[in-house]
Amino acid sequence: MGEKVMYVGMDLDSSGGDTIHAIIEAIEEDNEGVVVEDYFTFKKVKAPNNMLVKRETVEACLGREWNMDDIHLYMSSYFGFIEDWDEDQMIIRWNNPDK
Amino acid sequence: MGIKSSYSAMTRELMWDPKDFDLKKVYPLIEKEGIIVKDPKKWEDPFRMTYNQYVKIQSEKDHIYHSVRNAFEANNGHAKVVDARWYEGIKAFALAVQPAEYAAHRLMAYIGRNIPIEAIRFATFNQCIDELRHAQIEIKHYAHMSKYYDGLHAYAKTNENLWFNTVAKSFFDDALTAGPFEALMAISFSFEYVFTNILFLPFASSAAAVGDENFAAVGKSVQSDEARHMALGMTALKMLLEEDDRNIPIVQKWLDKWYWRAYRIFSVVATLVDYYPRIRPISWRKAFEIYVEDQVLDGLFKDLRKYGIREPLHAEDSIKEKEHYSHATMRILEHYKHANMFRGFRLQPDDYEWLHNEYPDTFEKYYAPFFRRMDDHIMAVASPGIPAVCAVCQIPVEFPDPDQPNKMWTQYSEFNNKTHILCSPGCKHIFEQEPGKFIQWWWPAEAYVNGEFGTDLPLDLFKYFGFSPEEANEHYSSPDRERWMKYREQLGLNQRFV
Repeated sequence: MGEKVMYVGMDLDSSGGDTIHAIIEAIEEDNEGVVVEDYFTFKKVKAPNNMLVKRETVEACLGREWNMDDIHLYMSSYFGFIEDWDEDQMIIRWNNPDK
Repeated sequence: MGIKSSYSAMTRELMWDPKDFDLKKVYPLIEKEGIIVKDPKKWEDPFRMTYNQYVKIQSEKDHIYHSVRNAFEANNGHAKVVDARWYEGIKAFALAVQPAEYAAHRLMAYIGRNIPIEAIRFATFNQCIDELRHAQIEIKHYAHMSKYYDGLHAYAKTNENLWFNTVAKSFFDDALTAGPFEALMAISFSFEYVFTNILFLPFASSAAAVGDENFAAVGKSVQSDEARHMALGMTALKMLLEEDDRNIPIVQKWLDKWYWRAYRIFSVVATLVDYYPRIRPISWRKAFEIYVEDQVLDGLFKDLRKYGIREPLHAEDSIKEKEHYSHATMRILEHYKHANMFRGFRLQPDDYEWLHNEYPDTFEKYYAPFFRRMDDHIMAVASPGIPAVCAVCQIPVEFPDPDQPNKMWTQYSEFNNKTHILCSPGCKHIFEQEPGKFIQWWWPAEAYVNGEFGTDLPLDLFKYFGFSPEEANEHYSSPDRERWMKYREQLGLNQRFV
């Protein structure tokens, strides 16, 4: 307690248009306490300690099929450890035992 | 096949252990650094990227980038930037960053060759190709610029010979002559994870803000590979820390060294964010707070405490320096603008205003008087000759001590009956850990005095550098400025519509 919130998250290239809007919407749906910061050419989306990106939710937000691999086109950066990654989901988190 | 099984089939199952040769002879450097790796098979690239996926994704990235580039070139985008002085910053970037990309591809090949761990080998193989791609798309941008602007027409030569280029070169030479695990921590962790965000995110934003769509696309395309590079750095770091406790002090030493080394090479980036663009989306100070303080020092390093890893030794110094870094570095660049092909420039009223607002405690008090001296005479602040540079980072030793900004931070160290000069306590510490390595430096000022550049100085020097004295100095009084105004006139861009 008293320590700053440890965020994990990613920077998404705004050129991704609808795709990154859908990814952000999906992240907001599947995670608590999501913060989105707009840096004009990219958007930073972060969540306290843990972030889940689910393909199904992104597809629902996008209204079409979407492949997890396509995140490589627009995810310019991330912070946290990538704990899991496959065709259905991605999990970024810190492993700090105090949390 | 799903991602997990195809990664296993196309990466893991393509490795083998030699039966007829001693493994240690095939990988002679693997035990040289004292790193102990017991069961590296359990480590995986978090993205589980396979070659066919990699090629597909990368070709799409290139496609996106080249469409933007073609449109920019076809529509005279170069004449539409808000101020041509932006290109002086791109020239600085061309010298500092592109050779670093090229050197990084060699470094990745070296690491992959010497570490027999599948996950690391395949990730370094991908990154090796990425770095070449970056070097190439950056050169593509300079090739177009060179049709209109000075300084880049003998790029390969300038790149090789300019005194200022020892900054980027010494960094990568240092990593390339380290063991493979140290090299991996140096680049994938310290350089990529901690600092590249600042380079390609705020700087690409600056490019977009001033209207250089082409360069914004270069930055974004390059950065889109960085998430993978960061994943490699993080995975490797975690692996080294978890494989054996005896690795921890070794890794800590590398983090101490390479944090400061990477931080120093980013000094030029601080000026690219705070000085060259006339419209600035973010300051160095704020970018440093977001990317280094919040995400790395308050984020990652807290997470690493459980391994017994602490913050890098001179992290505190870099935090103290954030109020000074870009100004002190720009002052250095103005001192030597007669000997670089990226020009300095007279600050405009809006520059003074922005810098004052972003740095209320330091800019006006310590730096503005220096820049105002150029108002009367643009070369008033130039120092003759070639500067004394730091024995580690190779940047001129002109950084102020952030605790007493009127004094220089310059340090000295004795080794083999010779006094060596260092820019800061961080570089002094690095020097004293491996003095035998750093005394092998090539010092441009010494070469100048020894006649290595020729006899008809300074003209021979410019021949050696690959550009003429007219391509140096100050931007607003330069031929580049005059030509840019003409391009705009020809295109009708000089008209004002009220």
